[in-house]
Amino acid sequence: MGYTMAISQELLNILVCPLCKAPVHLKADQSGLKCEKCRRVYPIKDDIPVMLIDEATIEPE
Amino acid sequence: MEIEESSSAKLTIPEVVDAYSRLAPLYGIWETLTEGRTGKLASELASVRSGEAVLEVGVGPGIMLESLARANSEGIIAGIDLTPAMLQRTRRRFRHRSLASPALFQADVRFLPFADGSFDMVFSSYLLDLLSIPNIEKALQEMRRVIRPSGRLMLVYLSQDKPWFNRIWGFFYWMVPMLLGGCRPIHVAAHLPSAGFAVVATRRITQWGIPAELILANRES
Repeated sequence: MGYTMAISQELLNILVCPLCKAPVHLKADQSGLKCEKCRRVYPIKDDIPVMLIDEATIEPE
Repeated sequence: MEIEESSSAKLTIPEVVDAYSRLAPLYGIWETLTEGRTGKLASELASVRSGEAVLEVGVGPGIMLESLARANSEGIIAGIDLTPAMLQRTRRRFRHRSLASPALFQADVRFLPFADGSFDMVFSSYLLDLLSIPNIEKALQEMRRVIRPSGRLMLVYLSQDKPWFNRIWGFFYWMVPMLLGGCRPIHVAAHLPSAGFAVVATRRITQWGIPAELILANRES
């Protein structure tokens, strides 16, 4: 089951980076949620977003 | 061996995740035995209206989240937990009952991944009992941030109301904190005004010998 089925746009609108509180967006390949400010990517494991600062990776851009 | 307000939580965050991962298969039974009537009272007190945006912090196996979802079929139901095993159990619980999937996230109450004022109500049961006092304050601050002005906070936690219970629980907490999921009786009401909440109602209930305190508070703007 694709992740998009489990999360609505309504929820994406209120999701933010747990660290800098900037909006996040779903990556094109749906592998994670990326912070628009600090570029942290929060992975999605078993269809559940892992919104933990320590589990995030920082993308160069 | 009475537990003092200043006592720090005995389990660290990774230990809590480990303890609850181990407890996950059994926790539903424990919760049904000890928290069922408490949960019902909490639901009544919280009086969720359909169409609201509701967040449960620390969903565990999802018993309370199911009750919140049934009262709110038109709204948003979101839940977080630190333990992936608990989130999976919650998801299975909803699937088995053919309920719409709640929005589940692995997250830390001290760093909530939601925008300011996102929720009409935030619910949390038997979570603050796990945290040290500074972390309780941080958790309350974050919960306040994500509640809309004049929105509600509903808390359930082990009460310090019964000294005999504090002594017995305190002994086991000292011996084997993991067995008790790391929870200890706490006194939360004192922290609410400074965290920007006004207490609306307080209830005490004892079920199977476990004293719980329920607090409904409004976010002050």
